[in-house]
Amino acid sequence: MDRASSSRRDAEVVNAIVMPNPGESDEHVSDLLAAQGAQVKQLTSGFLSVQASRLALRSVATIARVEEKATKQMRY
Amino acid sequence: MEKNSFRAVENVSMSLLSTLRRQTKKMRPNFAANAASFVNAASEVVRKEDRVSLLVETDKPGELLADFQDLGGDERVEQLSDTFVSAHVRLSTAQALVKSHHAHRLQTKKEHQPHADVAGVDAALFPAVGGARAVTETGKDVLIGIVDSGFDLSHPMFRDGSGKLRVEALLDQTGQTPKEFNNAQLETGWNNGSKPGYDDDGHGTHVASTAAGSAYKGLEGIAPGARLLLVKTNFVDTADAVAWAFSKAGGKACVVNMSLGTHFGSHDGTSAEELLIDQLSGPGKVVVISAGNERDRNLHIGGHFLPNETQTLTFDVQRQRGGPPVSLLTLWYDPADDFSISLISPLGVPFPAPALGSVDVYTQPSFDLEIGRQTYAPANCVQVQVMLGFRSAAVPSSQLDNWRLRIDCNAATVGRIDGWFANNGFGKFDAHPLVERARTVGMPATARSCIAVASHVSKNAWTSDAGPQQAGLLPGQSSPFSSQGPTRDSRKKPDISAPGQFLTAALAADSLSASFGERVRVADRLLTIEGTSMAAPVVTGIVALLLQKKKSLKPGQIRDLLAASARVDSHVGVAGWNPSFGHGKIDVKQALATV
Repeated sequence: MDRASSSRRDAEVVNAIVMPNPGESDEHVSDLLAAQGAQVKQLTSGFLSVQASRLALRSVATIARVEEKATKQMRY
Repeated sequence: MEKNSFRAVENVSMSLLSTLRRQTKKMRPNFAANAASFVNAASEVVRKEDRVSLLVETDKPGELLADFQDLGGDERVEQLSDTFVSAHVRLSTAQALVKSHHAHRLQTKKEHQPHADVAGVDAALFPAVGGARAVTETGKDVLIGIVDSGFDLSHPMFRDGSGKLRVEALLDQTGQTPKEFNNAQLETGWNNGSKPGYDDDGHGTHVASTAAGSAYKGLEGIAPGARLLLVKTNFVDTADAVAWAFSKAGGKACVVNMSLGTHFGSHDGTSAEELLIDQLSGPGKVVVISAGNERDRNLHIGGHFLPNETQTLTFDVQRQRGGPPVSLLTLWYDPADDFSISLISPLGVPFPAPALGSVDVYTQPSFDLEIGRQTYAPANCVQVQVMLGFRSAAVPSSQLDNWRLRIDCNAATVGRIDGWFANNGFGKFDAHPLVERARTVGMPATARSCIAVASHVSKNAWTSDAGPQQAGLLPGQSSPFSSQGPTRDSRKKPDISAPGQFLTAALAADSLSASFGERVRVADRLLTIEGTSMAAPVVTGIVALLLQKKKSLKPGQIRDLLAASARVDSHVGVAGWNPSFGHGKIDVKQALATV
């Protein structure tokens, strides 16, 4: 991937569900993301709804499962 | 209708009957019943101008259309499917149709009551169309959450007998930040014209009114006593929507309906959203999800490979409204296996998937292609992801059609590979033995805890502003579009089948749906559409009735009692689970009797 398209992709803001790994607290992961400008909302224990750049999300990838939310379609 | 014209109708009817009797000899065994309905219905459909609307069954629709292509005026003969043709023609043309060797069976399009309670009868909620409810439960003290396109809260189906909104709260996710409205704010907003949660599509209004609509023009939702928690979603933050609804419900029983889905994922219940649904569900908290409409969309491939076996499939990238074509395809296989996978452009240029843990990006004059291969730990499998994005909406078809996907199996322990285009419109495979109808249940309907809903046909005729309409489908059959199970990890989804084709329910004013001429009765504010989207809220309403009877029911208990009480008829086949109907057709009366 060339450098320009790589940084464009990293800077793109996406919506994701972040699930802290066992042993990592929701608060810790949430604080790390918030410190990088992410919007974080706790959905329930172990699940954070996050709006952040891919770069910010990647920073917690070793301590949490990060999954970008898929766009759904209506079923008619 | 004036007396003179009525007499004309009777004459027409007899004339058609005499012609029809001559035709009966070459009809199929069940034609006699249809002949009777042809006559009985004639007075309903023959217009003053002696036009008649017919449904013609034929094994040669092309020839039939060719014979009647030069009709002119307002006469129309149109192909509905491989075996059915619709005709709106003069009586003289109808008689010619009856004589045609290509027409095997004719039926007038019958006026039907525009009733969701045809679905209600199918689900045993009503003993007969227009009759009283067969059960006393109405969903009282239960909350129904609907995650959808929006809601026309000016529609009478969302108001109680005193005209007050039956909506507890609404969350609008479509702005920069989600915005919540309480009942009073919604009343104000819909009185002053700001219309919070406005439905510009029409899908959500129909779904919500099917689940919980108040009595209106002979219609009634399944749970008219329930209160509503509504989410106008952006179709991305749907997990947040479920969490919001259950949070708002607090200690009250709540069932959330999601008539939506995607095929971007591993289809085994391990996605983050599905795990969240599992965690949020529990006693008195249930999520109902439409199985999907992808049975016949050629968006899924799957099958077992032998070592050194190679398969090459062809697919077309589809154009999309409002932007350049995009295609997203994911493939999934066991880490013990070894597959080489390549995408080959229409010009024959190969783009191989890289080694595990790598992503390759190819920048071409008209498109960007990204292919990656990584381990997907939650399901212990390997994921290959292909993203193809064109730069211009005006890309010629020669660059969209005839892409090839080549799969070489280098080593096989399990040997199975599955792949899905992420959504409808992203791509369509040409016919190939690997193209499967099974495993087309979407996500999050593959979540373990949810009730996944398939669709069957409950009626095949309705009235609209464009006149009587009829579809070439047999009531009772599985809807041709209804996604089939099992899941990729072989679990039994869908769980149950419900009426989803065709359902008449509330029409959102000024919505996209209001322009569907053959589906709407604008003045009556009614819309007739089909989909597992329409079947899911039938089940959602029924779950609300069950929760009214026993608030602490868990999703697994509800699934079990729906399965145990499901109706098994000749369309379903033998008792037990099958890929199209799940455990059978939902029967609310039997289900409630077992609680």
